[in-house]
Amino acid sequence: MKRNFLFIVFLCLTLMLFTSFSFAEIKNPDTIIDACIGGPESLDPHWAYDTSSGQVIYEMYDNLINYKGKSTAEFVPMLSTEVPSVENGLISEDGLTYTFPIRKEVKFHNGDILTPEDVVYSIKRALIFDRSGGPTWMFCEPLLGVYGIEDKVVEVYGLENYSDIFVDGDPRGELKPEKKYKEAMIKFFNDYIDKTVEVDGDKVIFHLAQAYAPFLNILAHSGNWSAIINKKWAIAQGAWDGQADNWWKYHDPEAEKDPLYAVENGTGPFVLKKWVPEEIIMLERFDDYWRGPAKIKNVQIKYISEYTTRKLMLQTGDADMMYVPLQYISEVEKIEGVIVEKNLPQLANVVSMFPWTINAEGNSYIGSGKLDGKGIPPDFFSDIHVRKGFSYLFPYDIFIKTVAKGMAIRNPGPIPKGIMGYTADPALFYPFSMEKAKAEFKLAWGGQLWEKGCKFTIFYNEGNDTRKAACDMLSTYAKMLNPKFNLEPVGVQWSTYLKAFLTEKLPIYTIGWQADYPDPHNWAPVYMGSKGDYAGFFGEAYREFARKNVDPLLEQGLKETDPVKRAVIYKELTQIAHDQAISIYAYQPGGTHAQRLYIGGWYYNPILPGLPACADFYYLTKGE
Amino acid sequence: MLSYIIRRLLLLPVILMGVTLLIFCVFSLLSPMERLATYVHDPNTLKNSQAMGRLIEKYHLNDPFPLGYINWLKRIINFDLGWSQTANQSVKDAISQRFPVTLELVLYSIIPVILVGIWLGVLSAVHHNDMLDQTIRVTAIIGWSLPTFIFGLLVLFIFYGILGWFPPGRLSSWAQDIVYTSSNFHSYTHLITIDALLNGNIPIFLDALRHLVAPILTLSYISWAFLLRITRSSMLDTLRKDYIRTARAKGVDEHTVIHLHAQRNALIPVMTISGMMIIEMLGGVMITETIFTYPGLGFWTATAAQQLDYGSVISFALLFSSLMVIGNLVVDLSYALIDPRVRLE
Repeated sequence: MKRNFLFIVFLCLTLMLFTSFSFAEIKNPDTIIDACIGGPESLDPHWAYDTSSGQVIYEMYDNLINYKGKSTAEFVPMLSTEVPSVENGLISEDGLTYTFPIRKEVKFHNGDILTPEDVVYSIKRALIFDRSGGPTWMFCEPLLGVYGIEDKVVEVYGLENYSDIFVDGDPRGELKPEKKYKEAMIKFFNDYIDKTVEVDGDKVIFHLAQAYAPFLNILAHSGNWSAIINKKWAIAQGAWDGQADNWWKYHDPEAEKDPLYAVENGTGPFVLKKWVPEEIIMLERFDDYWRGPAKIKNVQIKYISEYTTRKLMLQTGDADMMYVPLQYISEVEKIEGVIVEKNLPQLANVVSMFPWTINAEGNSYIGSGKLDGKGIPPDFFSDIHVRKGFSYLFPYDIFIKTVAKGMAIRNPGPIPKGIMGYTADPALFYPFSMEKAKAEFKLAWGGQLWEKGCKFTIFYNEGNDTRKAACDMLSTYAKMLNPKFNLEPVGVQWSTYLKAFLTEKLPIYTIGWQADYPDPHNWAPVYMGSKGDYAGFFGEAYREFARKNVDPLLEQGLKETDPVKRAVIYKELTQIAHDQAISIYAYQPGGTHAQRLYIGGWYYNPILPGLPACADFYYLTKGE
Repeated sequence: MLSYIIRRLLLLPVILMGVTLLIFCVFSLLSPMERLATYVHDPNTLKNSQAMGRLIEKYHLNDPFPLGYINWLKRIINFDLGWSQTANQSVKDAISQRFPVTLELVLYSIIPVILVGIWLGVLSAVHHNDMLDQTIRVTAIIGWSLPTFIFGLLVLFIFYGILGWFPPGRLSSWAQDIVYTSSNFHSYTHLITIDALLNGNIPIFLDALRHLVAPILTLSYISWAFLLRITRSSMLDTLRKDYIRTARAKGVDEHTVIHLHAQRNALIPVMTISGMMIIEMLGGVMITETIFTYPGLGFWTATAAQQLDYGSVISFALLFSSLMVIGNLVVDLSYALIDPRVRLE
């Protein structure tokens, strides 16, 4: 009895000890804590091509120019003292030369002073680094006229493959011993890489391979690939030494061999304090920041995969902002002391695509492979009436209302709202209409489709409930329209989906795109170009169509510097997307941002990196 | 005994080779394009079909199985476990970062699991078929059948969301700042509670303990039910033995009969099972780690398996297999030490 009593007293005292950690009204007053999901892949600006890395690099590094406040169209100077334009003479009339006067007395985090040499080094390193699947293709396109540096080497020297000039075909190994290979690579650097950007006094001058309307977007803050790094420091870490005679050794390294993967030395408002991968990033204010120190002393970005845990942290004040999946918005709105901004226009959209030619080899997704009611032929979607039929069949507004909880809008074509070239012309939106869908399907394949029916699989990435819902809806309405139309929604692992995509075996598939930069050139080619990231996999019939009808317009739009004329060109492309029913442009999602009320200074710019509606920590305050 | 230990340890490399071969085999059944999914999370990063080929070549995804395995073995011999795409760090660093987290959680959890499980098991057996026995058994069944994620979320909701007592994560933000960034704090073991004591930092020790309570409660409740049933069964069996009847007949008091004579013998199988429980828990307490934001082995390896990060999966298999073999050996040895009737052959 006595023992039990003592045990109870001990338990109470212990609990009191824990509860004696009383909660101040605002916890951690000098630290803003963001509860996110999915940590950064790398802190190397030239490696990172994911939003988590972009978010962190944004805080630690500066670029030459920045977007003006909430705008995605206007720029302000950053490490450059002026934003180049044709009017101020810093962009040449032919659009091939851009000049940036570099700001003086800007300090890197290690105390070094920024010089134009650092800018030039950063760009050249980006070009030669060019890792497979990385972001620096965005430099290669304007500065070299190709998507990657290997493509340029192959083009210049007439090779079959870049690896042909390496021993055992290993591009990460040694060049073949004959002197000519090394000489060729040095010459390549001197003739192409070295000439893309140069120092001229206190200015940096870019020489483009082609007129490139979105070039300033590529250089703007929010694009981690164009962050400016410290040349001397980078070389000291083991990065490329700036020389022509070994650049290929620093090209496309493996992650573990990248010396800048876990370190930083930017000029940005925050310094990296600690990175524990997949757990936490800790940033500390840089007091010598050239714009003046940030208002908040510390930032912690915590990576917490479980939604309930994040929500409870926001509720108790252990987190000041958090990532909220769409389906939980209404829950988070009810938390006292929390504000949720909803339906923030995102530069992203989700599209269901019709490949004009499907690879039939060993492809069970198209059933019998014939128009016999048990499958579809490989060129099923090459018939415009099929594409139009499905375009009329998707219940856009119902989907947006029920699945996207009203937090999405429609797009008529590949270019989302908020990007130049977007049009809200109602004539370009396919309405949801069973009658019109029926009329189109009856015309498809000379009437055979309606008579015989069809059967094929439609894919979504397992775990993505929104896309599952889109597939289910399409399948349901198809069945309602004609019981012989069997569309089987299947959720697959990403590995299966990717393989099927790359081998062009997918019938209708739904995929999304998030802006790299806010310009229509980042959208239209992707969804419509013959070499587009998505449209390039629509089969040869489509590629041929695109080469004739789409690519010339894309080229025009890219090189045209007058924004009014550009808008006309991209509207024409949207018209083609509509007339040809190239894809179902399902929706453009709205973003959300949830934070405690005591956080001030937050503003929304859709191009800010990070999860939907992230934050520019430089301006944030806590409790003020 | 020494020869027994050596013979058992000699089995370890054979087992490790078998496990890794099997995993490698399974991953090799996937095509290079499927394995590419570990490195490509969005097809838009492949600007053209050449990019796909380059990535496959870069990461040796089309190497034939024997070549891939031999190259991997060569790296292992040099203690290079490769890179983890899911952890975004080397596999070695990922394991050294995550293993102590799981170890700390498991070591603290196993204490209440064993103590409570044994205590209640003995109590249940002694009060066989009583109301007390029934209550304990029902509570055990609830613990056994309740999914971890439901109980864990409930614990989180009550003790953190409502009461604010036991937050998720390993440490509070202020403590994290010190542990991760202060030059005055040294991580000797990477078990935060131990390191805090070794650094003489009691506030951090208490903060770490506070963060451990909720996950320990979750893990313990789910796990002690199993131990309770084993203990109860073993105890009932022992209490029926002749020597127990003899002890009672000789007038030995009931407390001595139960705790000195019966319990010590009944606990032999229980101790061996406890040893194996520790090893199994080290292999993954993924759900608890996820709910309470404990960045341990469980969540990482589950993600790695899902994303076909085979380098991470194989390395984890190596670790876990080694722990299993050594753990089994320790359990067998302790069994022989506890029970003189057992001979190691």
